[in-house]
Amino acid sequence: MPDPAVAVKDIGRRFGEVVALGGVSLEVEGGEFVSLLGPSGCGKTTLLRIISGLDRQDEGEVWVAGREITKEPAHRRPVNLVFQRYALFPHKTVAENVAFALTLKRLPRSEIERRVEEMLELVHLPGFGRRNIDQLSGGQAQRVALARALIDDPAVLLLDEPLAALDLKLRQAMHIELREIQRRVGSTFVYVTHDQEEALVMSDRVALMESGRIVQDGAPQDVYQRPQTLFAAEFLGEANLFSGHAESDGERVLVRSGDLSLLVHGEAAQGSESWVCVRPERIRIGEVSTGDRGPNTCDGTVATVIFLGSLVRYVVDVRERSIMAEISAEDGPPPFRVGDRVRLSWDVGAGVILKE
Amino acid sequence: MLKAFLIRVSPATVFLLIFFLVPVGVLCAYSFGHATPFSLSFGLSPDNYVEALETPLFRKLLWRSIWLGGLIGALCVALAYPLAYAITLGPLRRRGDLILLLVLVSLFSAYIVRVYAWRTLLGRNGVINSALESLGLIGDPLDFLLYSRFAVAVTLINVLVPLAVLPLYSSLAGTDRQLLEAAKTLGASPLQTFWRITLPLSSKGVIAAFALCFIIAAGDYVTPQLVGGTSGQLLGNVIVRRFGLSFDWPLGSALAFVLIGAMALTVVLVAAAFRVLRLRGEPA
Repeated sequence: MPDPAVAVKDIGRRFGEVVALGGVSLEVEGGEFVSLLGPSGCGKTTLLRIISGLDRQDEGEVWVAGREITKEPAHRRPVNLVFQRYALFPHKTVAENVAFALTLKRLPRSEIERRVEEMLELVHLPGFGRRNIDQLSGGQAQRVALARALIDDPAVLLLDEPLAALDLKLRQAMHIELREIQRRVGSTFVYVTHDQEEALVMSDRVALMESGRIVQDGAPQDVYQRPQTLFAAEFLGEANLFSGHAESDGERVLVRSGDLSLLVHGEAAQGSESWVCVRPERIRIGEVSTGDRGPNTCDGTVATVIFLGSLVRYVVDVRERSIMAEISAEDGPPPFRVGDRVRLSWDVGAGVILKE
Repeated sequence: MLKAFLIRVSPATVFLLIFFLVPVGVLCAYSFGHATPFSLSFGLSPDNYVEALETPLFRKLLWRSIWLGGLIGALCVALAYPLAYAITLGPLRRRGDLILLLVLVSLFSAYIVRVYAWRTLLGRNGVINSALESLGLIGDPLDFLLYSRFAVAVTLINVLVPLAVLPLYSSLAGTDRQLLEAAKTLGASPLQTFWRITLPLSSKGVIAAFALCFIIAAGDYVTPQLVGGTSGQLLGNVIVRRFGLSFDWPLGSALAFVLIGAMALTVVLVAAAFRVLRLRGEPA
């Protein structure tokens, strides 16, 4: 096993009474794209700043490429950071900004010029070198910042919500571009974001953070489809959540929530209070028919129909609760209208039992 | 268009016209004139400028005003910069407003009072000499402390440092801390960050602070009069004497313009040096 590109071990950080990070450990393999995802105030940016050396941990260790750098100052760490607000040097041209890390090392001028042009091509800004920073659009500025941070081949590139200041269309285009650049340079990216879509689209791995801890860590589809906690289920995507008493037969769990019974794979302590999450796209919606109503089935009244372009979302009132179901949009108007009686059903594999 | 423009600029223009251009214009007119023991006459003769530039004493004092003023200006900036940095970007930034207020309070005490205070400190029987003597470090009082260029420099620096803090403060307060962090993560040591980022971005403040202190110091005549002795006299003292005792306003005016020209040239050269050394903050 090669050494991980970055490893943080039991990082703790307090600001006065507030615990920003409470014992966070994370390993990132070389060439991996890992997102730290969480709501604002969950400590993700603090963790990034500790890895970069701009902030100090109260306890724990930081390792990069098999070397402990816990006590190294920021400028000696083989780690670069891309900031949300670009942080380009306003008194330097684009080329001087990109060249910055290399000029510090006093490399020959021709070498620097060659590398700068290479980097500008990598971020699709060839020939922009002579421009001033105030002549760049937001997207261009962030690409320059990216080129500047990649030019000296950092062992790890840290990105602190780099796309948050861009508008939606540009942000989506940059998702793909960023991923492509990362693959081409083969660099390791640790990406901080509060935007779940961003994390799901770009990452090899998502580390979900909540109040100073990593609560779940895995491939994007894993974290989305198999949330382990209530927080993970609610934060990533839409979720129907049910709580009730669990009865287990060893392989499957039956949760009775009011007059609804939910059958899911998994384990739970007999008689314990459990939460079940069912994603809306896993729920089928159909006509009410006579016949047996087994588990994972219920009847209700359509309360809201939301057209989302490629999807139609129904909010269905089932007694005192609302259940969301999403189906792909067909040609013509949605098959059900507000007020229609419908039957909802889902497979045993659709539900996930949450720890908590 | 033009009317709107004139309305907007006119108050400032009128003010400048009355309180600056007119007096300076009168002085300029005098400088080409001629003085007899009983009257002043205007003219177009360059004699006064020739005399101002060729008399060895004037040249010596002009040179001294410029280098001593320049040294004082540079030292003021060097002393004020760490303070301005600390209260804007450095460890004291949360207390920045309070400390800036304290700096301003020191400007409330009259300039002349502080000059006299330094006389007491630096004199033959002053605090510094007495203290050094009682500690046995020196046998006889140090004479160079008072009535010297040293005394002029110490006094003026003390008076001018608070003034230098102001332009430095405003330019450093506008600097984005994240730029310094970006430089750090890209591998710049604290010194490299200072020379490549912090100083260039605050160069306007540095040049303004230098110009402010330099112009006041190089043009001063009160401090040299009170603590300068003979070796600490500056061109300002000579100019004052032309206007006062010897009643030679034309020569005094010419000397004043020579001094103004030399000071302007110095400031321009300093600003140009910043540009050549790539320490200027504007985009290239």
